[in-house]
Amino acid sequence: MGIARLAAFPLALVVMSAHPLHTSLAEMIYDPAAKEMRISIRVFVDDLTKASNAYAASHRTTRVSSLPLIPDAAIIQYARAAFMVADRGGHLLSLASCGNKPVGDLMWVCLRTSVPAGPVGLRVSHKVLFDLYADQINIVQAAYAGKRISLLFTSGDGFKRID
Amino acid sequence: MTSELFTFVQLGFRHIVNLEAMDHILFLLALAAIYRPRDWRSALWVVTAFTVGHSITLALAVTGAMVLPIKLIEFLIPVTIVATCIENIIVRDRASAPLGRRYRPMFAAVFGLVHGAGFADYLRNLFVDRIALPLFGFNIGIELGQIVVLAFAAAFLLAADRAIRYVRASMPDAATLRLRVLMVSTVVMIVATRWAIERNPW
Repeated sequence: MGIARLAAFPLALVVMSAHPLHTSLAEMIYDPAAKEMRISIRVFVDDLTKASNAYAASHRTTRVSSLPLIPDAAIIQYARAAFMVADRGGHLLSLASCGNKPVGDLMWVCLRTSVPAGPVGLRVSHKVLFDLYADQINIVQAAYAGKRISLLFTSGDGFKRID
Repeated sequence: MTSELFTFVQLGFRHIVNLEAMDHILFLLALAAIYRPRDWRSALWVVTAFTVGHSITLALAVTGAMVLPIKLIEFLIPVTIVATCIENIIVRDRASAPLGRRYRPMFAAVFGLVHGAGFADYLRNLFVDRIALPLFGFNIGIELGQIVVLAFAAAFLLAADRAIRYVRASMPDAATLRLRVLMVSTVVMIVATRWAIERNPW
């Protein structure tokens, strides 16, 4: 039995493949004057295209054609579905688009939401690309009142509190 | 600051221990293949040298001090694995090799330079404004992950030794070690060669 398992190891290795680091970052910055949280989600364009296409196909919305003609609407729809912010009571906050910006190989997807009660106690869920890669790791960095909070999300994680 | 550091320690750790990211695991397995349990200090030195190597290029590439062609780096990563396996198979007397006991850590550090450049491409664009702390945390996580992988590699190599002895009970220790090195290095070399062919940039 032990030898059989040992012999199976090389076979398992042959079918496995090397692959890049699957990580995305979302930066959340609180603007106390506007009482608004501005979110910048940084995702590799090729991955975002695949994920937005799959989401559009499953929800019968605008399909992302191919680079560089990515309809913002499809990306925003996907980003809103995969990135969520809830208030202290657990109610989902509406996220408005503030534009998408290509930066190198990445797309910076900008969302914003009004947080009249301030950022403390907000809950965030960052599931961008979880539907694409089982080993996707997402990071949220939130900045408010001179503080900087980092949260790490892996597949299966739900909402996490910012405080 | 603590949460930020810990987050990036986790990111580095998870990247190394991720079973789908087999290139780094196989490189560590190839590095560890020549060691016996009593050589654990030497193995740890080699892995730490690898961390030092990849930390240097990671820092240079992420800060923009060095721009590297990613297609070439992606190709060179499996090439380093193949080269390590060939070294495992060919070199039998490392004590008399140039640089003596420092030879293998230096070898690992040089190959670490290539692997660090591979990490950098994916981190550079993501963390453009604050680099130092994420980079530091990521490197700590990588080192911790490597120690865990090394422990599993040691267990796997011991199991390989036992399997060899089960088949050839009378085989001397030195011959068992040699056969294990040949078996592990050959399998890892075949896998890495396939990756190198797939990633051929030309």
